[in-house]
Amino acid sequence: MKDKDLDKLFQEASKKASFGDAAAGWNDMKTKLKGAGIAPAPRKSWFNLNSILLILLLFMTGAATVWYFVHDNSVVDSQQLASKKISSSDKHNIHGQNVSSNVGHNPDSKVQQSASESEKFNVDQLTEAVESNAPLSEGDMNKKSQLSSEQPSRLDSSSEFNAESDEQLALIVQIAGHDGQNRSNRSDSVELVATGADLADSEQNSSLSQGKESEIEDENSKSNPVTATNNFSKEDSSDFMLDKMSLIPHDNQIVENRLKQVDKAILVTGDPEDNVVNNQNSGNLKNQTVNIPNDNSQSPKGFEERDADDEFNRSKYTYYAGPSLLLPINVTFSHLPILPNPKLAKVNLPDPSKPVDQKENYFLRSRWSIGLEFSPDLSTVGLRGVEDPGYTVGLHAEYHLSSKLSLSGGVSYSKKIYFADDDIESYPGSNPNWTLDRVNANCDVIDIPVNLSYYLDGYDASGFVFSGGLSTYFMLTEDYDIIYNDPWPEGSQFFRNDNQHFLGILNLSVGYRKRLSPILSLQAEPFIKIPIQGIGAGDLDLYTSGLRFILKYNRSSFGQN
Amino acid sequence: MVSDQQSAERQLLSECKIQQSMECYEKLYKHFYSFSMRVCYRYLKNEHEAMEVVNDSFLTIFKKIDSYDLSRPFEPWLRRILINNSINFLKKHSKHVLLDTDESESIFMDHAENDGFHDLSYSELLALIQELSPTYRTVFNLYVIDGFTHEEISKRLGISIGSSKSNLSRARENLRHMLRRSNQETAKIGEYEG
Repeated sequence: MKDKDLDKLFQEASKKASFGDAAAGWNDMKTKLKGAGIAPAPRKSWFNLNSILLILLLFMTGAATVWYFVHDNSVVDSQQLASKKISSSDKHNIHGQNVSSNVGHNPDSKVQQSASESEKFNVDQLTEAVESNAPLSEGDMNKKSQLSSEQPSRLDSSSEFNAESDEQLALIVQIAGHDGQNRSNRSDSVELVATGADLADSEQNSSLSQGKESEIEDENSKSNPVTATNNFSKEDSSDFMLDKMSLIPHDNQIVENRLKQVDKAILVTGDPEDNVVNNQNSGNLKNQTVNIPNDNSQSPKGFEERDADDEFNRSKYTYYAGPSLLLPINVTFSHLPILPNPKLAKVNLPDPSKPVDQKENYFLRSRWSIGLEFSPDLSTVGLRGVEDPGYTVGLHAEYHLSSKLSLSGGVSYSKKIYFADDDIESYPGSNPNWTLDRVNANCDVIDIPVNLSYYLDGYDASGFVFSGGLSTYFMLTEDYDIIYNDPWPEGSQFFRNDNQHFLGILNLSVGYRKRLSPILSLQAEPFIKIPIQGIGAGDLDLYTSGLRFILKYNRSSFGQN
Repeated sequence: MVSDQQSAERQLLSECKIQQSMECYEKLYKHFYSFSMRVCYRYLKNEHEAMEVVNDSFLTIFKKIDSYDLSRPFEPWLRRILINNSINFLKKHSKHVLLDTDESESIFMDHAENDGFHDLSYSELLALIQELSPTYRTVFNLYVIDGFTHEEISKRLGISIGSSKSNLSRARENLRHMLRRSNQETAKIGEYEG
């Protein structure tokens, strides 16, 4: 049989062979149409679990990022607190805001203090005790001493407490050794110990959300007994302690900036002798001046006794309000009946001219950081337009060359969806005799970047990050739909592992990195990937841009030294 | 008659383009189902795979029905999509990449003539094409049945023109051998039954 006859035989067969079971094929076809959202019924596919989960994930990620980057954790919105009203029915239980502090007397010691987040304060009992000039426990005095003479206090047991008139305060506390040797410019690692009521004066109804570098335990507060006369529970009287406190580096500029953010500063003294309370409020107490007994015989546990119990005798240390420890708090005093005039101890300010030793902080942590990254992104050829969004997920590794400079790399999987139209005249596999209209591409890519990053404020602080480097693309799969103008038909091409582009893509990004904790940080950075060489089978100028989120982990030795 | 059929097809396509309803899609699908299966069946391994590619191709058509130009014939467009999808299906699902040559394919040099080829049905003839290796099958289909040139085949499959010609020649030889074998088996069966 000649070739011509053979060809004719099979050409005829290809025209006349019959496949009659169209119904079975249509059943499968309907399933495909529903899956593709073409059939009418599945157009309700908005209730798609995957889509909802993806939207939720993006929303939560975005919300968390916005919160961390926009919200200034160091200063609490006073209006927010001021607007908080306590109903009259609940007036006897005023819940104090949690206060975080981090204080200590010696950098080499470490104790932990943890105050209860919500403390109940029996106002009526306290008011009664004050008016009757009854002995007060340390806890009472702690509470009263939260109200300075400058702060109007108000107590109205018959109506709800309104904190609108309260002012925002900031407590700036630093405890330093009297010999000055304990001052450390490694503020993040400083551990100090509160010595009792002095530092606990201001914590109720104040909050702090600044970093929680370390915690201390106030043994003194726990050791305070409970007086029977005022019926305060032990918990009530002893837990008005600072829980955590942010530690600010000894940087004058930072301190000045922080001071601008607060209205006032409470200077806390260690002098227990002056217990006179000047109440300037005209509430139920009617401007009366209350003398708080300072007699140890009357007070089951007065200052002197308490000092004796203190592990850290305050006579050995001086306290000062200064820039080393900055505790901005927002205190609503309206619910407190009596204002003991707190006396502040002497303050030994550290030498503000001494610069922060960045290197010292730097070597407290590991040089390596690892992380996870996720980025929704858009790919485009020649920056002409975008199709559907793609995404990238991957692992991130970073080596810190210095406190501000790092070398990072990783491996990530990327889905790139794009199209090309005006830029192409031909495409691999396309019919050269036909006019190309458009190529729709759907590619799976392994991206291996190598970047150099510069941390504007150093890695130990939140701040902007500038990165640049090169990426290598390994094209796992390339799926192209080729559409022709003339004639109209459409073709399709599929490639697998056909193209690699070694260091063929330029990476540029500017982002902001927020420290979540000493070991964790979240970085959000808009980025762009610029092709240096043609990408994919079509050698196209494929740009990719998006917003990358990197959750970084860096093993830290903060608090261990 | 032919013009009436073309007119009916055009009317059906017009309704699909305007209404985009499942009823129209079903009519169009069933009308071209046999044609589509004949195209895909030649390229693929079995009827199941052919149906899968046919459905994928119709899905593409339904998605892009908006941009279809009614002045152009539908069948060539459909054929092109079917062929492209069939080749891509082979690449995706077959371990055999469409190589320049397939050494595993034996070459039969028996040139004995036998007019009993026509005893086979059309479906059986297409089944013989399926027995070819993916490379031979694709080149044979593209050149002999679908009318592509060796240049077009070489670009479409990423092989040289010489390889395309060589594959075509070997595909034909294999088909001749299979036809002879099938005819001999048919003859033996006839003798046994007779």
